[in-house]
Amino acid sequence: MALHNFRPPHWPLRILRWILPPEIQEEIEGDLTEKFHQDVNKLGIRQAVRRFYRGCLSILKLRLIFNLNLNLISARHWIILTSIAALILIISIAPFMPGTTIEFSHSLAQFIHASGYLGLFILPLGMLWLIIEMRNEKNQELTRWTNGYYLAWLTLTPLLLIYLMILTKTTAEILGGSITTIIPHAILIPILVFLVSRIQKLKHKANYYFNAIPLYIVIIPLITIFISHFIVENVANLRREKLIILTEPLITAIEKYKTDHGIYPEQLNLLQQKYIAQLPTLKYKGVNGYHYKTSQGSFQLSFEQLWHWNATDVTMYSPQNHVVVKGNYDKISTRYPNWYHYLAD
Amino acid sequence: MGELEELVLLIVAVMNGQGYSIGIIGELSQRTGRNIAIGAVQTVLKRMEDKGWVVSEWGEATKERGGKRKRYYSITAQGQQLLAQNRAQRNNLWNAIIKIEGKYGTA
Repeated sequence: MALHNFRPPHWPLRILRWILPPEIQEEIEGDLTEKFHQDVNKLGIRQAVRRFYRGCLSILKLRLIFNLNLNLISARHWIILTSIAALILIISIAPFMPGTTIEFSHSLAQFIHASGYLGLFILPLGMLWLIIEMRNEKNQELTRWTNGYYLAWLTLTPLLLIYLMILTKTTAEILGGSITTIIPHAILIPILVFLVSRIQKLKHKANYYFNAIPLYIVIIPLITIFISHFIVENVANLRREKLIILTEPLITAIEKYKTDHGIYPEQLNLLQQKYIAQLPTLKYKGVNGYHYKTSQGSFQLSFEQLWHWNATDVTMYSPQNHVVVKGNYDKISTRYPNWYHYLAD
Repeated sequence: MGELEELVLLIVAVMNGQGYSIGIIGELSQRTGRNIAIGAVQTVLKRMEDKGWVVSEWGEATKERGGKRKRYYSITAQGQQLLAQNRAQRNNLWNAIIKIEGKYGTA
């Protein structure tokens, strides 16, 4: 049998065709095939196939694969990305800003953060799609395998399935009378429809142009997680400190009352006029008013603020360190004496 | 310049315009006993091409290559100059060893 009747396994070459830049595909495919035939002649088919797989793996080098053309990302893409980042930032910190409580702003922020974490699951596929987009050359003829059509659907399908599950749950909530839950979906559904229509356009994409969707699929979850982890938590910590400072005159008034009467007041209302002109108002979204109680010759003053993922951050003051924690978490000291905080479920 | 780069550049020079990656791997194995993977040779060749030490051109397609063309590499004047500099540096070092041996004797 002639040597060239033996053919190397087809699927690794197919994957390499996808991954490698077009200008080196022919050369590398030829090299691998020639080496395969040499090995068949010298070592037999089994050993040659094994060496062929090893050769394909050796091609997966950063220098050969990541010959990315960063110039494809234009100023327009950077502006869109910056605007999206700014929007996510505003939505994320809005629940922690001064103002009256709006349940919607908190649930929208949670929805955005949850979507960011969900986006992590499709990040590897998104990166693969992005690499292919950035590797194709101008004027190159594209097939469905190289135009990103299948990869785009592979990337989006898990997201759509998870979203459908969430939508089923939300529909039940909406039918139950919770109208505000419809708003995040009113934003997301047009985005998904837009994505699907763009992917369908890929089906007929025969000539090269840069498709920026994978760029957004890769970068937006990373921006969201960065904001959620590093910015929102710091903003919430700052808000707690502001609220503590705002409460200090109230603590002084309670202590003055104790000096005059020998006991702590039973209610905060007893302090008004003589000890404090007006009780401080906690004008922040998601912050409840004060909780005050006396016990065993001491008192405990606390306020609660909404935290990530439906948790509540409870901040407490007690002069003799009589803080009682209800949740499953340990109490954490603040930099203000006798002030502690903990997370409650 | 790394050791592998120098070896591959020397082989490209030895093969005088007839060097392509599989040929280079074979020649390198035959002359130095070193077996290197296709990916490693390709990486070195692309890097040297970017640096202007070698140039390449398409050759013929063959049946053993599944109808794909070879890409032949040749050394450029810049590559030759670099090899000459490397050789001069090494010769200087060898000459220095000979002088030391002459002065103090060998062990």
